[in-house]
Amino acid sequence: MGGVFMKSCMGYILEVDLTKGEIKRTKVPDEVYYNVLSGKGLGVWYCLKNIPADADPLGPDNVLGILSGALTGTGALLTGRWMLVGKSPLTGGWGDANCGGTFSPAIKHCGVDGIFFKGISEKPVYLYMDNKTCELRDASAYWGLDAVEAEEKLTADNYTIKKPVVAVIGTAGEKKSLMAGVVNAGGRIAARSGLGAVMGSKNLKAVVLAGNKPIPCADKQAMKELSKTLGAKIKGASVPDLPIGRLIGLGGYAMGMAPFNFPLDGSMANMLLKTWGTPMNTPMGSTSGDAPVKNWAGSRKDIPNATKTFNPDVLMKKEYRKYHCYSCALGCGSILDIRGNKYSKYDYTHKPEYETLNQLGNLLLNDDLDSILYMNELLNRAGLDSISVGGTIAYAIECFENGLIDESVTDGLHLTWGNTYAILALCQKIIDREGFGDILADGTRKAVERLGPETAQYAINVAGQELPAHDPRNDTSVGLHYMLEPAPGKHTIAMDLMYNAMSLCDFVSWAPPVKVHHKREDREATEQNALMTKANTCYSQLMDGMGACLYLEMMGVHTSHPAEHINAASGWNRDGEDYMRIGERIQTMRQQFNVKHGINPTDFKLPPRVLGFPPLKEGALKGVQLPNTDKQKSLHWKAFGWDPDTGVPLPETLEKLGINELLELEVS
Amino acid sequence: MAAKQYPVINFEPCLSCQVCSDACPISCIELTLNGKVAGFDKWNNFFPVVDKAKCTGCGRCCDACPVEAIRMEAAS
Ligand code: SF4
Ligand code: SF4
Ligand code: SF4
Repeated sequence: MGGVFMKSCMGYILEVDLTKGEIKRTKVPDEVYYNVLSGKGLGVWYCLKNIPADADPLGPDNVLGILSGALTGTGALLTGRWMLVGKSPLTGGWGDANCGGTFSPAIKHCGVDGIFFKGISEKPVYLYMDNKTCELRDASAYWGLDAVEAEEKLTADNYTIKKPVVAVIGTAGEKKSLMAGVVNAGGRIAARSGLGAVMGSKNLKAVVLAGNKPIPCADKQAMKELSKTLGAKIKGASVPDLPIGRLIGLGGYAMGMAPFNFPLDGSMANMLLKTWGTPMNTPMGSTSGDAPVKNWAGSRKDIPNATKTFNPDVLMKKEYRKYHCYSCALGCGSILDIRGNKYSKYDYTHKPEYETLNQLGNLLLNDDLDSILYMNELLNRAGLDSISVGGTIAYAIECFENGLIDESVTDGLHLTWGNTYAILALCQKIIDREGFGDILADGTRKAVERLGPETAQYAINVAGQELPAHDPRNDTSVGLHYMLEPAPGKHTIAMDLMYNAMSLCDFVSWAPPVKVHHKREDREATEQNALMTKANTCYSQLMDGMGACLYLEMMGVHTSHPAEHINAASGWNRDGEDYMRIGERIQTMRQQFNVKHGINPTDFKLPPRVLGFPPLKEGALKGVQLPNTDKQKSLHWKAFGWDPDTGVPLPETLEKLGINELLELEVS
Repeated sequence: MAAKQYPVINFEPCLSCQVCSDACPISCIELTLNGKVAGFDKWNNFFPVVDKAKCTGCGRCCDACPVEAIRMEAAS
């Protein structure tokens, strides 16, 4: 197996045994970078090798990895994402989560590409690392603090030369809530897969990084030229300075009614994201049918105020300043001034994402924006996944509305649709794991175990992971990816719409061409559609190896060509085919992780309701049903060289991708 | 000995990307609203500001800026 070192990586990882208190800095073989890059690729390589099949996700044998991206710090734009990896306590299989903020370059400034924790510390600790020091420190003074307070205090207490950057669990991670994530930058959270509970189970409160080693790049000047071109394109994309946010809902109507998906220039999304961030999709989603309403059983008619309440101009007026993750020219985030909010005791909050707005809004028929902004801040501080919390509250409401639980179970809360007071109270109870909140704090799958199998019909998850706010009845491939992903329930892999924006056919020869196509065609099980889901999957894994943001991905290969960027960073000269094979390899290893850990890929199923059984009676998705998903899954697996019936990667595929050889390599 | 040089930021191409503040080994660049320059892109409304008293003139920020928005100049 050949492999030339990737010059934009540090070449080392840190291995921390929390039980023994031992820390080792070890060298990663060059072939690993060559074949799976850094980020999620390096993460899955390490975890597939090192987590035993019978490891309890919350036990000492599980590994929690925190990784930077292969392009982070090279001067490439929108490549500052960091990733968590490990065995997910929500699904019992592969888990990963992705986050912006400022933590990704901090890992590399300490001279490593990733940090892997195993074991369980006897007492709460945090890892401190700079150029010279690397040690576990007592975290008792920080245990019990919320993520924002802990980050502030840890930053101040450890500030000597370079201002430290901190990733931390909130109180939810400490309490091992299976909906917990890991937080940085005052409330940006790597939320999915429940990996914050893994960090909590290890008694690891935080990772504090203060190194200042330079991050290398093979051809700095070439990278700067690429960034200047991309930066100018992004900077030039602006929406006219008019209060047009309320018109977005109308655009959604049109999208929902159009029977076609059109080829788009991916960079068009830039101006919308720059202006409003992801909340631009909230009014559009409820009118187009993208946004699930009333726990996936309702439509925009159930929440008539939605387009007004979720007009993104309302949020924009509250902006105190824009927020950019590290190396981002787009800046889809902002910090909102929420002084005067009728519930909040906090002055500021990160602008809630579309997902949060929908999960705490449309999904619960809650049109009280103040309550959502407050819960957004509460959940960020607790370190909880707002997607899962929203889905879990929706489940509880529907159980209550249908008489499966009553006030004796809900601690007296009258949990009806849109009852803001009860929703707020329940959110706090989940955070505190108090009373009924304790029953719900581990998500819908555990809640069904606790409240009875008759409640399962309202638990909208795939294999334990609550579904995010994009409806497969509107866009089929998003639903397929919910089931096809080794870490299920991810909305960030692709949509048919995104496929049309990315132009992957100009990156790799086997990706089907971009064309105007009838939405119904997307629902058909064809080899062409399977190649589309495969292409999107591989591309997404490649991006996670690079540390790139989804919004870089969405700009499409004509706006930002990954091969040019990776070649400039690494010193390699490889093409799209080669890089897509990296994505294919990473995905196959993630699937292999599940197989090793006894997860059956055929168990990853969408709840009937989400497939349109029974069909919706109103709204943009009225009558839509998706009957073909098993066949589509099977064709996707086949396209990957996995068994079309079981989803298990075939031995010849592992051989062809060099995965067995790769797994024999050791750190030194 | 040559006069000490400091980073000077050209706000026109600046993307508010924080690469400079991250690259500074002693954290003496911060992106703040105080760096706001009237008339510039309202979507990038916070800019890097250098703490000159602390800056050693090492040039790492200038080297790191992805769009060459920083040049090193002798203090005036
Ligand atoms: S586009 Fe948004 S999420 Fe992506 S890197 Fe930029 S600020 Fe972060
Ligand atoms: S690195 Fe350059 S573009 Fe980015 S904030 Fe600093 S000066 Fe602006
Ligand atoms: S010249 Fe060096 S010390 Fe001064 S701001 Fe730039 S990086 Fe920091």
